[in-house]
Amino acid sequence: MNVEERVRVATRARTGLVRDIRPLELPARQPHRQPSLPGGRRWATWVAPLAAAAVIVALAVVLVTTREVRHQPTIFPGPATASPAGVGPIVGGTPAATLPQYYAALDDPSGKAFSNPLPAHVVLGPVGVLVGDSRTGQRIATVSAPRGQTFVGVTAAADDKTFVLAAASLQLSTGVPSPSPAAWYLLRINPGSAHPTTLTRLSIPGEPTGTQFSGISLSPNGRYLAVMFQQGVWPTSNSGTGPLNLVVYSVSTGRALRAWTQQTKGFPAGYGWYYGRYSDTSITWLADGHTLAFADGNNSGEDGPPLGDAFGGVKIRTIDLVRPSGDLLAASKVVFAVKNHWCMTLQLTADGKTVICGSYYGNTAVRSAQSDPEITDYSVATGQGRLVYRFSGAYELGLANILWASPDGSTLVGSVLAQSNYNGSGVIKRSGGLIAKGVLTPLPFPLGAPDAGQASF
Amino acid sequence: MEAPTGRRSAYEAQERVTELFQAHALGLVRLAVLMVGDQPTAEDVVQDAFLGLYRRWPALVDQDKALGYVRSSVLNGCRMVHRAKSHRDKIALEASTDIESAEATALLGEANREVLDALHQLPARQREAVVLRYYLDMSEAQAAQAMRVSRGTVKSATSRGIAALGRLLKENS
Repeated sequence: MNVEERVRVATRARTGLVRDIRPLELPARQPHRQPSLPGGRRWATWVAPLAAAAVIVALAVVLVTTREVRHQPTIFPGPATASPAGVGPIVGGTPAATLPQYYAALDDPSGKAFSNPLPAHVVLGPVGVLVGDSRTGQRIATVSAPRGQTFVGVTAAADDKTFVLAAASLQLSTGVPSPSPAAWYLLRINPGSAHPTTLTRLSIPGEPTGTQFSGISLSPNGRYLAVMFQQGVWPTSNSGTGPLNLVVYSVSTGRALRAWTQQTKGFPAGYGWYYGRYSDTSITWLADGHTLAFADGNNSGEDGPPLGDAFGGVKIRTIDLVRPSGDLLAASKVVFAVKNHWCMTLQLTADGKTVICGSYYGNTAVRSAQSDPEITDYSVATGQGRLVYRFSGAYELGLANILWASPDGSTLVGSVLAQSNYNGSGVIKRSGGLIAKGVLTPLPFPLGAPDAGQASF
Repeated sequence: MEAPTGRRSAYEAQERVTELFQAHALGLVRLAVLMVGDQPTAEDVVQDAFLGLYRRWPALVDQDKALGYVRSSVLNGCRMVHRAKSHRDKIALEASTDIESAEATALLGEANREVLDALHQLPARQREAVVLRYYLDMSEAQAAQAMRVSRGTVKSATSRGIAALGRLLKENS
């Protein structure tokens, strides 16, 4: 082989190992300045100070109210349809400083897309995405789904301005509660600019209708998208139930960098399938940036039907991205197992020390006050559990979800859904917000679907 | 209300530059990896090139030539990296944290590593010419355009680069 050929071979071998790159990082544009006031509107110059004074008075009222509320053992929710604009800012003394400022949340004005239980012949969407400021309550932008699609999932990077959205086709078959993402989009936000959001379609492939998506999670650096899914779970598929897949895609190129599979003997297996939702939040990234944690074992023997006693025996597994593609169970390891606790969300904190369980009650034979939504955390080292938050009210059905957790799990953003009757015929209450020291302080994100990963911070 | 023209342009720039990045950045990072030797530095160079494109977008006379502009920026950025050795060394340390760096070393094989090591010992212009001609299979005219030099310069740089590689590989064998 001559030198030129050796150069060809060596350069292609080296570049073939470059399979993903980090996303483009463009600077935020300059804030959009309002044009100067026309002469006929000079009155606004003296109205502004008055308005500022009114805001200060309102803020003081909120401060007092929040302080009183914080001394109660639990916070009772406001009206189910509370307007985000009516929620006050998070103020002094709370751990809000650690909370990302911006969030993106699925926003379904019709309320149909997130009904519980989902009607058999539901016509969905289109569901948009609301981008908001969690500290001020300000709505920054609403992002409409591209024509013919509806957003079904959202996940955030750690830079407070990058999100990945999952979109499904609006032409859904009836009885499919978990619309399969047909397309993925990169949402970049630039608050304060004339165009505060930019939506770009990614090359990450979609999956066929009937696929259950059990989790999506964007890495903190925004480079990787972890997706757990299983084809053929829902009856529209003609191909039968496939294996459970955990795939890590490059956000920049859309290529699958890693793909692990779990044979399930034709049974649905991914954590979250039972709830029939499409964006379970149980996949998290550990602080090292290359280890994924995911909930698994929502079945008997990890390869059988997902019912019976094993339902409450969910495990947290971790998998290192340096491991080659292959068998999911062989490549991952169990770091924690929950006993006799039904967790709708079960996630490991970024420091790897705490497991947080958002309860799923109301599907048991005994329906009682035990079904109030709860959040519990467990020490990975000792296995000791601790009640973090309880939404009290003697409900028949209670769902609690963890949407964001600080690295050590001491501060959470969660959402709850509580129904006085299991079938949804009675009182339904929803709430969501910052949870610390047993207290929930409302945040202004839409509360449409606490049982889905509807908001990401 | 319709955004002012300037703001529309900024919005368009972000969209178009992001689209170009999605389509071509991987290939440009691969090219830059051959020039600078490690992926984190290569990614920095490509990021800078697209950032430059974004900033200059409104002033681009022919936006269809944006890719050519970025490619030249990448080559220029790689030259700058070689000049700023201390900067390069600093970033090279960070390469060890890349999850694929160990895999890359293991999978390349000794013969290919020898060629790549020799390639990195060439002067920048010779390395560019060799890579553009034999990795991207560019013609002399295309390489000259990308390097912003004459065809004759490409021809001589390629010839000298291949000869130097031959000597280096022979010495190592």
